[in-house]
Amino acid sequence: MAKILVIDSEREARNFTCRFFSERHFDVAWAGDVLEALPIVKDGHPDIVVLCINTDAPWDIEALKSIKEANPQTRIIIISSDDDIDIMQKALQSGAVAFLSKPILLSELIDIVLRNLKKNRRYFEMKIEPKNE
Amino acid sequence: MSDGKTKNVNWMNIQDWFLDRVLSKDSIPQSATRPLPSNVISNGYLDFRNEISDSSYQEALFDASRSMIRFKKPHRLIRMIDKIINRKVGVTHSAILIYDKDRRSYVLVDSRGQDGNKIPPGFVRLDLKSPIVELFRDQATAPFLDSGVLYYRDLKWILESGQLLTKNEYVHNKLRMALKEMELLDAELCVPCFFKKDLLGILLLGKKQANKSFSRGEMSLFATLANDAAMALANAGLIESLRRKVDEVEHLYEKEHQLFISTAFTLAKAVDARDIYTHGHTERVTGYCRLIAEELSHLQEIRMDSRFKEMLYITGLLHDIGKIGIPDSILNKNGKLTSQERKIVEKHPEIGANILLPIKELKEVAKCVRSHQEWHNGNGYPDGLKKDEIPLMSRIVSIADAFDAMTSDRPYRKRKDVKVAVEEIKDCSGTQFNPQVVEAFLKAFSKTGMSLQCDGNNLSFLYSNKECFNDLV
Repeated sequence: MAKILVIDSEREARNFTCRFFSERHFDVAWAGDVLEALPIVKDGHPDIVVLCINTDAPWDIEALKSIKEANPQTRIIIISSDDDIDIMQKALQSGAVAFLSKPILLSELIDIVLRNLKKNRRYFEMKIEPKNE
Repeated sequence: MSDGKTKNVNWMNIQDWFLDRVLSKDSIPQSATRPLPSNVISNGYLDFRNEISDSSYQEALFDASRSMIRFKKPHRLIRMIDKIINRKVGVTHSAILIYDKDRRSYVLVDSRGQDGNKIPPGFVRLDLKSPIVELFRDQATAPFLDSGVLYYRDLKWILESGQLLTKNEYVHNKLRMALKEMELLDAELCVPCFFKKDLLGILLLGKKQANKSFSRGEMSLFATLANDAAMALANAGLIESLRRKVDEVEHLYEKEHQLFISTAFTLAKAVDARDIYTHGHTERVTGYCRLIAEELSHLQEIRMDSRFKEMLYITGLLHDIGKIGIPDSILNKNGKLTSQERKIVEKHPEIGANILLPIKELKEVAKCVRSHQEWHNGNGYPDGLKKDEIPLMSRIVSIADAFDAMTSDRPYRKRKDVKVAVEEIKDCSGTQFNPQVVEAFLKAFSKTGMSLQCDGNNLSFLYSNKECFNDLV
């Protein structure tokens, strides 16, 4: 199972993203910010990191780089509330594989994730239903 | 649960996830130490109410429509609709997407539901290529929706069992893609919000509690609510664009107006530029006029006419514009004028008025420019008007003009002392000047000494940003 780490300071968005991926055959872990996330990156070796940049969470390019350092294999996807071109360029230059600005197209997010896992759509579409306890 | 500090990262799969969400502090406002309330089913679905009866649909609709008209701001309306839906029907989550012109997408602006189910507002959008959007907007596929609504469960069954009433591959594909997208969004029901032919928004509903099916009644309730919402949205949109147009027009008017004033001012400066001995004369006269008019503000003529002061200002600026028709040799002559030359100079009020007559907005100004050299006792020119035949603005300009003439240097004589000038004006009350206006002048003089500051207050009061005149006094 592919592993995704979701980093987002906004609880609602984080919960949604986590559930979204966990329903679709991913193993999910989450963190509130990059600091919390680093140990997970080091020990958990996620395949994908979805890093959400919000206006209240200070954005530091170093943060991106430190994730890459902790695990060079990890692919980082940025979801930002800001669609500033400069930030986008910086992010992509610092090693992010994709930069999406909110509001995003879910289909786009999926395509990027699958592309970076080298998996096809069918993998994604097998949705798991939660069982009643 | 992953806390990031343990060596072994706890990767959660979907079952773990659910347990975690349901039992954690995050998902339910009550603390985790209290037992879950009885209406919370362990898989995290909240049960709001029992079966909804037909009559309560009517109620719901009535309530909704009644309150909808009250909302002026679209986003509040959206939230209210969401609330109503959730109150009447228990669903895992609901969301409303509204069309955003700038992004050319339907952006999710409001949503309700439990953590994890609820899609955060502003997080996702559907663009024009989205299968759901295309399905609603496309004429070819619209008829295949059940009362215009996309119901996942029904549609899936229909497609899989080959029950679709058409063999059209195009329609099949579109429906299949829409279903996949509904899975992404966890939407059991998609309701379009149409206003006339425009799809203004989309309402998404998650599954009902215990995965019960939606009744026809419920579906038509949603469809009606959605269209009512679209209408309210369209109205709000219209009001907004109307408001913006009004602002635009006001702004344009303001700019036109300023341009007009600037032009008049420039014209006046052009005339002054030729007449080297009375440089700045126009501006000073205009300032004096303003001070005098302040003391006449109680007059009905001024009170009733909100544009009086502005017209006076312009008359002041343009009163000597006729001098453009006077040859340089006479205008700037070093000594006293011969009677013939005087006759030519005395033509300038008439010339000025004729220059301004073609501009119909300045008709009043033209009249007053023509009469600014008339005398109270009829001995003035060009028409020999007397007393009240002379327009009020002209009466004011006469005094201001004369005062400035006396208090500035001329080629043939130095300026008179201000006090002397004031006395002379007093003396001419009743003959050259209108007594009432002379009184106002005297009052103004005693209050201000007829001194004009360069803070722009006197001369450029009609400009919104007060500019200073450089070569004043």
